[in-house]
Amino acid sequence: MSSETGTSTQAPGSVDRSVLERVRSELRGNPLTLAGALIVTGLAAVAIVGPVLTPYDPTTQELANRLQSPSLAHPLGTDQLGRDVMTRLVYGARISLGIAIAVTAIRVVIGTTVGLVAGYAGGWVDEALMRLVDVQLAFPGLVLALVVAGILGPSLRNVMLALAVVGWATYARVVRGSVLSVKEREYVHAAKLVGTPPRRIARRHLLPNVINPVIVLATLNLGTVVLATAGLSFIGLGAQPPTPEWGTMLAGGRNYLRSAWWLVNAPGVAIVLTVLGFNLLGDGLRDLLDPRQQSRLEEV
Amino acid sequence: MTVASDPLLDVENLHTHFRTDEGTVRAVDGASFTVGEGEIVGIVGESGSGKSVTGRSIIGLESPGEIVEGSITFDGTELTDASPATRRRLRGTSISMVFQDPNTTLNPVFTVGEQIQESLKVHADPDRQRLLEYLGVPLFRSRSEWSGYRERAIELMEQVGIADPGDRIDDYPHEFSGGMRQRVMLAIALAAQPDLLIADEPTTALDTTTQAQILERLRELRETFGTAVLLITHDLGVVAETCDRVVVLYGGEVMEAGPTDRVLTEPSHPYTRGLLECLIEADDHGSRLSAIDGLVPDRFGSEPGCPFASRCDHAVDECRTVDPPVVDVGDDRRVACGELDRVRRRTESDDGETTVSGHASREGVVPRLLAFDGDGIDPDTDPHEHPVLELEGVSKTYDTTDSTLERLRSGRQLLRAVDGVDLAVEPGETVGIVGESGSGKSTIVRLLTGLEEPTDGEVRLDGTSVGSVDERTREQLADVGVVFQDARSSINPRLTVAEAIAEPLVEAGWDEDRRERRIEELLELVELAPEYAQRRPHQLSGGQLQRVAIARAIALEPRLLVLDEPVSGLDVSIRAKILNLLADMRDRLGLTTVVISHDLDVVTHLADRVLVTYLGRVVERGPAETLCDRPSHPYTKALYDAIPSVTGSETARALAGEIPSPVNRPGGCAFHTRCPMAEPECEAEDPAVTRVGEARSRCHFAESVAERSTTDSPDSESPDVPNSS
Repeated sequence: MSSETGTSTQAPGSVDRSVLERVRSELRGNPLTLAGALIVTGLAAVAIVGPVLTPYDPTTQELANRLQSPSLAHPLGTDQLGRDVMTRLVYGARISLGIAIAVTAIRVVIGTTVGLVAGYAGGWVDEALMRLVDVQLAFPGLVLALVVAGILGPSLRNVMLALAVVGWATYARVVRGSVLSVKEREYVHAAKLVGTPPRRIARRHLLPNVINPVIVLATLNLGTVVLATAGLSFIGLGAQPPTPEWGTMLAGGRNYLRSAWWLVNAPGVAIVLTVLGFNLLGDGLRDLLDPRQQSRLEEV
Repeated sequence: MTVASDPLLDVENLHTHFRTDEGTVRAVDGASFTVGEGEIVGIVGESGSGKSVTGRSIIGLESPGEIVEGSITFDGTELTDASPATRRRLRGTSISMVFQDPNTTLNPVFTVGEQIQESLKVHADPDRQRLLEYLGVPLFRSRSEWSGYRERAIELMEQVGIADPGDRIDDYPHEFSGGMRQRVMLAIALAAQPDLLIADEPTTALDTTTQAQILERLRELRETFGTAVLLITHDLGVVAETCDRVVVLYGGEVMEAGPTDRVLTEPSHPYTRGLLECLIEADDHGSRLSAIDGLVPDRFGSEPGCPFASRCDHAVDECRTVDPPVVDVGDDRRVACGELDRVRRRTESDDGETTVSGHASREGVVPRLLAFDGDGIDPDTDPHEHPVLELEGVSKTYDTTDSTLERLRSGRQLLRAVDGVDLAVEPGETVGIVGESGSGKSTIVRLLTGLEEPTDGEVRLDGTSVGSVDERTREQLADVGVVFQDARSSINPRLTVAEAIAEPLVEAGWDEDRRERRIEELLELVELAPEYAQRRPHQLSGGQLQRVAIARAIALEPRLLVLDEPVSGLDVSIRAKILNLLADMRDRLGLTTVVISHDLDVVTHLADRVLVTYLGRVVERGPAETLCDRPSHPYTKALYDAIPSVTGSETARALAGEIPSPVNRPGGCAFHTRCPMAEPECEAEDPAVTRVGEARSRCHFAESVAERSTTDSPDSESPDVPNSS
């Protein structure tokens, strides 16, 4: 027997190192992933510490300084009410990222739960839940969110609810599909045969083995949610002035397009960068978590 | 020997390497061999020996690896530096390949006819591939051209042994069985009328009976068209059946090469010897198998020396430092070993000892060979002691009707996976269940473990009737341990070894201290070092994973151990080790065991008693030796005949046809459609169970079958067993 022990190439506990190794090689091999990661980290940093660094308040009006072009004192100029655009942008990042994370988290939790239950239970439970998912997917998401937000009344909280309600179906689909294949693996049978209750099988054996695509999807989704939030705010259903939200800022600045270009461009560029960052990061994660690539690494 | 002055294929010092992040993997590292015209050459080796990569390098599919050195000459053309166009043309006209898994090599959206025709078309016109053809739009210019190709395709299908090719040509791959798909692959490969056919494990995914049919086709092809075949396989039996010459590969280097019969009867290289010793021979029931120590290393380094030195019993220091010389030992045989004389002397001196070293006698375990549970005749078991497991008239029927509409129109379509199986397993006994795929043996496992509930009949554990998993008590669950077929999929990749083994213990409510101690004990029992507890499945080899699975199955000391194809998919040397481990464990712990396998060798080796299933029914049952020596059902006999044997001079006889669908079970004796000795009454009447000696057979002519099996000496060709399909 000793012969079979001596040949393993890796020492115990090397799992984490090999994950790090893979992350590093992905970042090295794919500069776009690195760019995505940098943008997202940068945004997160700005959202967390940014407000401390800026001397202005995002909502205090200073009409004397209205519509000033970019300068040292106001790197991105001031708006029609004399507020510093830079400061508002930084506070806006907080709101946008916060909402994106909250909405995606709600979607992931609902979607994954529905998918797990449907896939594992099968039968009429599956049928019922999946038809619900179909109905949900048949509606154009943003229009539905618009309707929901319209009914609930304009506010950030309602935008969040509206977006969360319309977006979980995709997760349910993805998770159910993976569960259907994973639940036929022999380790799930083995767990059943020792009397593991369904809840524990779902948590211990199914969830960890179906979560990878969910992570990728969630990352890509963060960008979409930022966009949707800004969109709903732009048409007046989301954040209300004077809340420093990117969509609201766009809406407020559109009257001054000719005279004060920075008003619209600043939040516009911020939105583009955010969405781009999340998309690049998501693509990189997809490469990293791709089961095919993983198994290839395991075989070598 | 057809070694002409210029061989058809000449591989010279081939090096194919893969560059990975962790360094270079030398998959093929200096292999040289030749294939003559019309010759069948086998390449054998364990997984990781570089045999597949060698085949792929020849046809130009080595990517992502690259050929860094050496030459491949085919019919005078050097392939390693040929232009892509030349290589493509050769692939269309002179070299073809058949892959291992017919499920993934056929395109599911085209009919098999279209795929064969495509290959024909490419062959007829290798240089013209228009854009529209790439898009698959007008493959043929005129109706007459189309029908010409169609006829050729039908002809090819007939040649590879597909029944009713005219009807089946428009079927899609999913409508074919595995063996039939492999035939289609063969037809596609043959469409190019190749001079060389590279077959990469063409029969590994198939039943032995189907394997014998496919190998027969390969031999026929060579006879009819003079096609040379390079057969890549891990199975020495297959080589013995089919190949003129054999090349033994290890670590990407040729260890030994020569005429098959000479290499297999008098192996020179220690590795070849090792491989041969691992094989189960039909007559060594219950004995210990010898195995090669160690594993194929994950990667072979660039350091000089013999790659096998780390596992070789005869290795001396020199083996590790100097590349072994290639010695010509006569008869066109070459061996890469520097210590041949010493190896020969040493093996001669302790010959005989190695094979019988640990004849594990099974003391204290008295299998009751005669206490037969039998098809309602006389279950004469001791009423005071219950069998550990009993199946009484167990059936499982699946409803395959898709929709309610279908059901109303044509009635229900019922698939009888298991049909009235009786079985009683006595304490300490090992019962084996064999059959081709589709014979219902996996369903029997699902029924007795409780993953499925029987439609009819009763499953009893220790005399108590049990239902499905959800209805069983903790104790009943703990009483059954199961080892699954695919070790890789039977351990959750996210858990550590310790966590995986702990699962049954957690469910049984053991506290952490006790669990830890037990895991340590179990790892020792399955011969894994304690540090394995913290590893994850992807760091373990297939054999090691199967050990973990065994540890998990016996964690709670079950009364009954169920082994579902425990060694399929493992290399011969690992297989031998796992079989030894299972036998040891069973004897030490006094386990009652049910072993299911499509491999008669494995079942005969482990089991005291064997059940042979066909289309969900038990057609014969009896002591393992009796079934092996004197089968009394034609199906049992056919199964034994289909096993390729390394030593026997007898070639494997293929059983005709394939297992019918359980949805349309043939009337009378279900086996009559394939039975070589079927009489009209077989079709009309379902045979009763007949007792023949210690065996029971469900055949009208059980007595005469048994008689014939005994008189059937290996050499005499029995005229009443036609072996064409």
